[in-house]
Amino acid sequence: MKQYIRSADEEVQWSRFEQSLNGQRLVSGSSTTSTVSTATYLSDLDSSPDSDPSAFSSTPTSPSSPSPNRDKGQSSSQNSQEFLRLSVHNARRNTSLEVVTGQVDEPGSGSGSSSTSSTSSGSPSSRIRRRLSLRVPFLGFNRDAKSASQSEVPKQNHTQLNSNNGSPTSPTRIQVPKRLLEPSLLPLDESPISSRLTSLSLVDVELDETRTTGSPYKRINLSEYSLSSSSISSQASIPSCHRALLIPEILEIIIRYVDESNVIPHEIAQRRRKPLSLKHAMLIYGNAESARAAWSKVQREETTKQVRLGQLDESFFNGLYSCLLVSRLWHAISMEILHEKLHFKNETSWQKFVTSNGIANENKFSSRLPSVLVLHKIAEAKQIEVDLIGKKVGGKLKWLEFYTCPLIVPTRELLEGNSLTKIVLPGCSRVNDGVVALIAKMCPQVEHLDLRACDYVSDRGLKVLAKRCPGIKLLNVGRTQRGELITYRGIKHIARRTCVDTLGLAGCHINDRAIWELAIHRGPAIQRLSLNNCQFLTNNSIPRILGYTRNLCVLELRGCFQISDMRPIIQFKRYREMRGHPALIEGCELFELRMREAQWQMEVETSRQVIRDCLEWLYSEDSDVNYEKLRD
Amino acid sequence: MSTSQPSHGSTGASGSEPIDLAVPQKNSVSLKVGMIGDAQIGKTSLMVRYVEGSFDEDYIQTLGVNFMEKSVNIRNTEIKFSIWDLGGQREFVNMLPLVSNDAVAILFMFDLTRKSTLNSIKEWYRQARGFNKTAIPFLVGTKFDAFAEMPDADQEEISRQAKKFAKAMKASLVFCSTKEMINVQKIFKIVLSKAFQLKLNMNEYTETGEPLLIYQQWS
Repeated sequence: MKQYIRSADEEVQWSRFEQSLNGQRLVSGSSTTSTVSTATYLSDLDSSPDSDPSAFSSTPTSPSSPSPNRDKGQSSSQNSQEFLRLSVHNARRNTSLEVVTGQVDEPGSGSGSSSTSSTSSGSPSSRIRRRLSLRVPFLGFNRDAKSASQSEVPKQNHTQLNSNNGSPTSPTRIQVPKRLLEPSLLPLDESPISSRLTSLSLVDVELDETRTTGSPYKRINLSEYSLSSSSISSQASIPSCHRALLIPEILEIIIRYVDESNVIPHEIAQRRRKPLSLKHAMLIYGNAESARAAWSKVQREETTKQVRLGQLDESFFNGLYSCLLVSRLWHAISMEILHEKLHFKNETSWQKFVTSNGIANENKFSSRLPSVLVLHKIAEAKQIEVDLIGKKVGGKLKWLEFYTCPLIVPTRELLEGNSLTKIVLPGCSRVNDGVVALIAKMCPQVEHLDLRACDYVSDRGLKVLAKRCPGIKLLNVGRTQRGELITYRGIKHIARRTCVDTLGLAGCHINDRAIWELAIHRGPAIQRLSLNNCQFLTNNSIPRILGYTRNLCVLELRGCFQISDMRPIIQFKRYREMRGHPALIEGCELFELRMREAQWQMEVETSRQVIRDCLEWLYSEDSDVNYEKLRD
Repeated sequence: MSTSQPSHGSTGASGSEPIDLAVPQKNSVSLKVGMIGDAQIGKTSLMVRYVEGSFDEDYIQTLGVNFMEKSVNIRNTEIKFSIWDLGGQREFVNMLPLVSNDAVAILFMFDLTRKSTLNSIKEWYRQARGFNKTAIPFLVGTKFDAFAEMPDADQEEISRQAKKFAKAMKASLVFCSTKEMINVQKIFKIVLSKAFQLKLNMNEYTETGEPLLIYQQWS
């Protein structure tokens, strides 16, 4: 997995740490000096409760050393307690996650004297309250302008945060020297953290979605926890990284947030299909302007397809790969999260994954088995590689996708585990009835099965599928070749035995009987039907069955040239519109033309009827007093 | 003015029984009619008389705007008049756009027994035209029953004046009596026929002393 390069757009902005501390450097050396320097460091950053109380008491020099330092070195704003900000900026989504940990001032710490710090730290009430808040600004920071604007906006929030806590504090930025961030110098031993966790009490995990007025932040108060001073002592010797970032639970939440912004490569669903020609666009949109706009968009997309995809690839960055490089703990957590969703969109990453996990590594894959395995357009992926990987990662998958990977089919191991509900295999031309039967056998719970352009799947496969997988909701067996393999005989079983609501039968040689089976057995449940290029359909099916399928919202009828009875289709369209759920009915140019004509004819009839009725009223007698009679 | 085809009504979505898509749909035609004119000439009375059929001599001042809907059902078509009536006091003139915008027809109304109300039509017309230039204008004189009791000379004078105004406005001219139900429904029939350019076979009354009904000459 390490082949991914640290992305420039999204990374943990450690630069936040680099801003102040007045260039103070930390030296971790022998025991006494380290204590002193730590104390100095911490007192500069924070007031003393944060620092090691045992160090203060045991080493007589330490209480004196921090105070002059603070008095001369820091401005009043440095009275504040410890603050740490970690911001994760996600440029693509334009959101960033900012972790701010702040600490409440203890009363009297503002005086800044050494005695205060030592007493407060020694007192039993010196439990340090910390707040960790995750802020999600709606507008991401501009990385170039970070020095100026970035520090401005958060500052206001910090003061707000602190005033909430009832004491005046202002942010102090911590500069962690870069070398301390190197994994070799970071506390890699996780034992002090886990031991410290025993004294950590997560008070509440609340999501505060309300925006602070005047600031573009969404503040999420993640947790508030207290640390006993004893636990800090072990921490104080490790000054390099903020504690919050060393608590696995919190870290996992943070890293999971980063992971959420990662997009698993998938096919982007179209809202409506592109027009086939300018004339077609005119018929669909009805006015020249939007038709031209739609048509030129199609043409533009065709010419720039390559370029656009290239750009898209770049934007599929994964911020987690930078997290891998931070420390051992970070590595472990990010790795675990990364391994939950495996997706590959180019040959090299797949090859590397296979070599590192499939062949060389004999062990089981990781502690957690992945729930997602997506191979997106990896035309070179070989069956033997899938076999190898399948043995490692199979068992817990929920989503399995091989998108146009023509050489591979899913293996038995991948289908194991009774949790797989979504299987997407479009363009896997080696998928045949045998594979479908295997899917049916191994995954009776499957709901979403996409077998587009799996040309060798036939009625027999569908029959087995219908028998074993009654829960199937989406089935797509659309194709451009071998349409004769899918006919009424297969659809009959699907209609009768499954709870299918979305069915793709493009290019299949189904007849009117198949549609009638669907209408009668699945009627109101049917939501989407794709029947493009089903040339055998006639006026005896679709126009007649729309009364049964009243919840149908997408109907695709491109290339169904035999359907010419448009009136029921228009009536159905109006019926859906009346109910506020317009149905999208798409056809080819001829179909749209027929629709327009029929619609026009129906409108003319309606107007005629209206005029006739109006005239009837006009000529009817009314209850006005007839003046002529009155006069007589 | 709009036509639409509403509702399969309650053609129900229950069970797996097919719905009948070919159910003949009810067509509907709706027309907005605005009524303006000076205070106390009987705009609201005319509206209430037409919509509800009732008549009350007591005066209730219209505060702002009144709105009523009258629908006529003929076979498969529902003709719906939404009638907007503006209070005659000058302080309500700022609500004039509410009444005149999108109106198919505007009835400029005056009291046949008070000549001053006819004279202020000029100002009403000018203002309403500012908001709606396409509305079909009507000049409607009310209280014909009282008008008929007036001396012939006065009747002659007012009729002449009203015809002159209607001609200038290119409006249909109607004298009506809300109390006696003279020419009330005919006003709305003319509105519909003008809106759809349908031919009407109603008799016109053009002679002084008759409840004038002139809808073909000037408009």
